[in-house]
Amino acid sequence: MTDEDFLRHLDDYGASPERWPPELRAAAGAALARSPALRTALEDAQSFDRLLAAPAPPVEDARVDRLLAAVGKAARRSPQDSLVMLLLGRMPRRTVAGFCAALLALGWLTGGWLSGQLTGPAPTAPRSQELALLNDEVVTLFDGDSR
Amino acid sequence: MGAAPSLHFALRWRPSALLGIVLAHGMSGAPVADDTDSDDGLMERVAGGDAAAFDRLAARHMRRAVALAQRMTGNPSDADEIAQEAFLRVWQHAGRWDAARAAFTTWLYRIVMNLAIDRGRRPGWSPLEEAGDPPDESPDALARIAERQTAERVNRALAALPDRQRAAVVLFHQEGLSLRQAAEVLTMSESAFASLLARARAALKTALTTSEIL
Repeated sequence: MTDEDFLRHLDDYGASPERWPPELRAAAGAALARSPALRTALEDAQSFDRLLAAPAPPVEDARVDRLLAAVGKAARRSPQDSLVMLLLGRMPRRTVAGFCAALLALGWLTGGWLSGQLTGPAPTAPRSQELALLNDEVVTLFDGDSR
Repeated sequence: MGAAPSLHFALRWRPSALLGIVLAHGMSGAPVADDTDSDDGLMERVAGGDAAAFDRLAARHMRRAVALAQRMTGNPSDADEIAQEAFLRVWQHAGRWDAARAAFTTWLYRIVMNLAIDRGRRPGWSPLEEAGDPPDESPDALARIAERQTAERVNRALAALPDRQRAAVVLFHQEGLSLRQAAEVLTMSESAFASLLARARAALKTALTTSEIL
């Protein structure tokens, strides 16, 4: 790692080389060991990093207790995900998208096949059988009047 | 079919097992480690609708979630709302969490960060806090005032960053997450996160140099 490389990484990742990407750490250590100028640059960068590392805001116990009570109550009133959402939610988004597309395609194919089946020539009863049925209905309809 | 009984068993409290652990530890008072008390174990139970497990998980992580939200928004009341909403989502969507894909804390951080970014508020300094403090009579009062003014300028510079750049600084420099952990929270590759962090640092350095802090 050249001095220029080290300084660029120092700007990018900050003044803790042990937190840089793993593949850079060993070379960064070697560069620091050989160059006093880089060590000085590291110290300067540490003052910048200290400015950024603000302490965590104080969160009082009473505030935490209040939030816990509120969220516990809200959770007991809220339903959890349904089984379908659980199954889909565990899948990666691409898998879910693929699954939905496959379902749509299957529906389209099934619909096409069914409509093909239904629009085919419907089985027709022989003419004599139609007349016989009509005759039966007439007898039934007039059955009461004939008495 | 063989997995069903073990899953069923893992989702339930086992009083006899707990009794055994307590007896094994005697009166030493040493903390008892139990799988069901880990974040993963609690989440399994939360996914099964166990509200007591949810309470325990929330108690363990609420303070950190609120602090993270407050770092992002700069506002305690927004932070409270975000933390509550985040835990409610944990409850509602517990079944979606997959231990093999992300640690529970990564998932929680992701929810908090997304809510904070969606809210679109900017962190900032509080004028009331600034005006409300009593005069400091201590010998190092001037140093403290200067320190505080510097912190306020840094906050303003941070507030002026785009949301994701601010998130990068908060996660890496303030929360102390590694590049990989922070990248996971923001659902991006490690190299993309490194690039985001570099842009944020460059912008902050320029802003702080302009305001003569650096």
